Amino acid sequence: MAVIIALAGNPNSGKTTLFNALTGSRRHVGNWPGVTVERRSGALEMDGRELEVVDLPGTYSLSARSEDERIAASYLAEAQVDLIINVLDASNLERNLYLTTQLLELGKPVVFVLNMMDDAKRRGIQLDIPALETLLGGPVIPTIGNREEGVDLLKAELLRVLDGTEPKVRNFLAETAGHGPMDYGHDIEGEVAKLVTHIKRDENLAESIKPRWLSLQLLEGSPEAIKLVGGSHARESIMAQLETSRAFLHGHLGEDAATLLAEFRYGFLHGLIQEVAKLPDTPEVSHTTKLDRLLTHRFLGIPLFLAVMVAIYTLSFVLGKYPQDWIDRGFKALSALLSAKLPAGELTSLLTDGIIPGVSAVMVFLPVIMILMGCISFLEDTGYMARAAFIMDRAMHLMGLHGKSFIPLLMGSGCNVPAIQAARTIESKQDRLITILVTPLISCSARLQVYIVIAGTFFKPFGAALAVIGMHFLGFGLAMLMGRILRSALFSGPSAPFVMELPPYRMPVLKATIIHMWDKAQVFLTRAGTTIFAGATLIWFLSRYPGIANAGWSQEYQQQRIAVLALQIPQEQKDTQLKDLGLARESRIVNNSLAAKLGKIVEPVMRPILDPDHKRTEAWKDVIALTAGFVAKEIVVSTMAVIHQASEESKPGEKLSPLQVSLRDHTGLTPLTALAFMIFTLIYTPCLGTVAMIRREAGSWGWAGFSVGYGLGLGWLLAWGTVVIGRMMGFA
Amino acid sequence: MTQNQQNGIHPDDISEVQLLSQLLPGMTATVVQLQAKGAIRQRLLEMGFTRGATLKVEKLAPMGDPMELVLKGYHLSLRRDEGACILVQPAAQPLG
Repeated sequence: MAVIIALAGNPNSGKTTLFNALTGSRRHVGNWPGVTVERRSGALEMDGRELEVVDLPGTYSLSARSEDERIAASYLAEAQVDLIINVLDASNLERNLYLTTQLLELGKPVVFVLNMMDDAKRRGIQLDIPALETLLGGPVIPTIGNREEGVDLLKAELLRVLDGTEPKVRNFLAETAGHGPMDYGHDIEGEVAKLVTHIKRDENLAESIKPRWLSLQLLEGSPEAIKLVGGSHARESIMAQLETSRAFLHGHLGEDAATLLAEFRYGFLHGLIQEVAKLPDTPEVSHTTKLDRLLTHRFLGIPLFLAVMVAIYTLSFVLGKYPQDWIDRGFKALSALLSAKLPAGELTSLLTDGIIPGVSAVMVFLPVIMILMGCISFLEDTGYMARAAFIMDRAMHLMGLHGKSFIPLLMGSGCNVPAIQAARTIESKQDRLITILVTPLISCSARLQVYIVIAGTFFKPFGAALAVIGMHFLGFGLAMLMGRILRSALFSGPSAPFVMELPPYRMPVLKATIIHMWDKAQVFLTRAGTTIFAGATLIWFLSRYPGIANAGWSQEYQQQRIAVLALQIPQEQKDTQLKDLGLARESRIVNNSLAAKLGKIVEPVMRPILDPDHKRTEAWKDVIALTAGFVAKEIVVSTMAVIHQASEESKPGEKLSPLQVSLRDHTGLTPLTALAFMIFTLIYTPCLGTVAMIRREAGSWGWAGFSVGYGLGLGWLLAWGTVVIGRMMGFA
Repeated sequence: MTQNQQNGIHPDDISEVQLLSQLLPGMTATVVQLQAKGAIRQRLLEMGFTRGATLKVEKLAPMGDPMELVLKGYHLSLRRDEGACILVQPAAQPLG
């Protein structure tokens, strides 16, 4: 079995950079089982040994309650972890060492990495490394993570520790009669000893976790520790002792146990820092403070933030549009080529109308995902992301969201898929989940294409522009409203604390940004891509069968084609006629498909919205278009073109396209029902890519299903409300 | 022992105990007591809000909330309603 090395440290301590330097390209990114916290692991081969390095979520302590931190804490206590690398930010040593005091209590060998030594030097902090090694009881390796300085030294040290030939490693637990590196004083240690006695009565429990560690965790009130004890036959005596100990400590020392332990740890560290660190007498104003004078300035902070957002938006969605179009055109060309070369039939259709558009539907997201995630990773590594949250938190908090929710919401107006992925930067699970669930309400660029066609058909230019803009405001307003509603409906407790570190500004490492982009792309392709592909193929099946397999129709179509080809007319006219024939055939297939049947079944449900007077004979066609739009919202338009047998491209010189003329003159939609249709399109369900991403980021099909369900319900209600109120006001 | 870290305060400096959220930018203070419970209390403790710890209010966010603090040599941000669960003793004279 490979030796397992866990990387532990505070957020912003440079853990991930060190992880990248240690493991190079042999990395794997996934999730921890059952949760949406990223799990990065990688192989490291040294001296013919296989080592597995696991990068844990950044954590300030092992008693924390957030999901990320609980994972880190319980993994570190597991028996399979052979060695811990504790990454410390040398420029912020005291708080970083708080976690260390707990790591040492786990009784495993720890190698300390003093990262960001350059930062510490610049701030005039002098560190006595040999003294630190003695006090911590383990080797301390100074590194500069972003230049990979000290990594080779670290590797050599790891081998020495694993071989047991490193004299600096001390086992406090063996040395000091069961105490950790620090003594919590007579009162607390006495209670710990009593708890240990009770724990040791259950041999299995004492075997699975260090009794002293468990006792301290119990005193701190860790829910995990209490759960662990709950499974033991000695639970009653342990819990009874815990009650007594807590009451005793509170009575004797005047504070609860958790507070006392934290105070002892910081007290110990305060002394330790005095011994090992020499701080400058007059700390100079750091470049971070200077930058913050501008970036979080009372008046300039918000405009500067918005400028950064505009830059990212432009990079992602304006520049990203080019590669997106290339991919789209490439797949379309491939599809056209294949349908021209291959004999017409079911297999060809599966390939050209099912699989290729399905793959294309996945691939078009890649450029924006990579650019946007690259930008966000870059911002995060500079330290600006925390400032962005600091600036926006007030406004976002009013919506029931977190300061960091702003970026997903804004980016959602480009495309919801990467926006939901961007919600990863929100640490608190509740805040992240609410952000994920409201992001689909933000109107994206795909929906814009539907509004333009519909509004352009039914409204005068000014009214159309107003309707399109109105849709965007409506989406944002609904996101705000739903944020508040979901917050109070789903999470009745107080929102997660906003105790957020504002780390010093640092220059990001380009390599880390690129690795991050690549990881996100990979995760998207493997996790979300498969769902999108499967969904696209299913929709193809529903909208083509059984017509595609009708041999009589195919024959008819071929005969018509031959007849046109034989006509003595200019090539141009021939092409137009052939195109019309193709559209007619497609239209026939779709209008008689399973999707059409489904549309007719569902139509009564949609009648109050799309057909309030029950005069339209073809309202079910709208339902087909909306069903197809589940794959991607812009498909609503192209599907309408097929079912109404009218091209979506305008002829030169005409304002409305044949599709728009057909919508206006033949479908029976009125301006009011058209508006309801637009509102429904905005809300009814996130597209398939978004659903796949919600499933991945929220961690369950349940939430993905919920987002579809509430979208449908809310969309219907609002569209219906629009029709009812509109009619009351005399609109048609 | 560590509980007696309050030696940083000179008797003359002792003024009224206040809520952290009431402090103005530029003011320095010492933590007296945490009134938060549960997860928030745990998080505040591990971030260094222990009795006797000194902190400085660096600034307020552009919309007035949250607040930026300097504690143990690092910067952090805290919503004001979270700051309202921390009792502090302001230093008599704000240190530059």
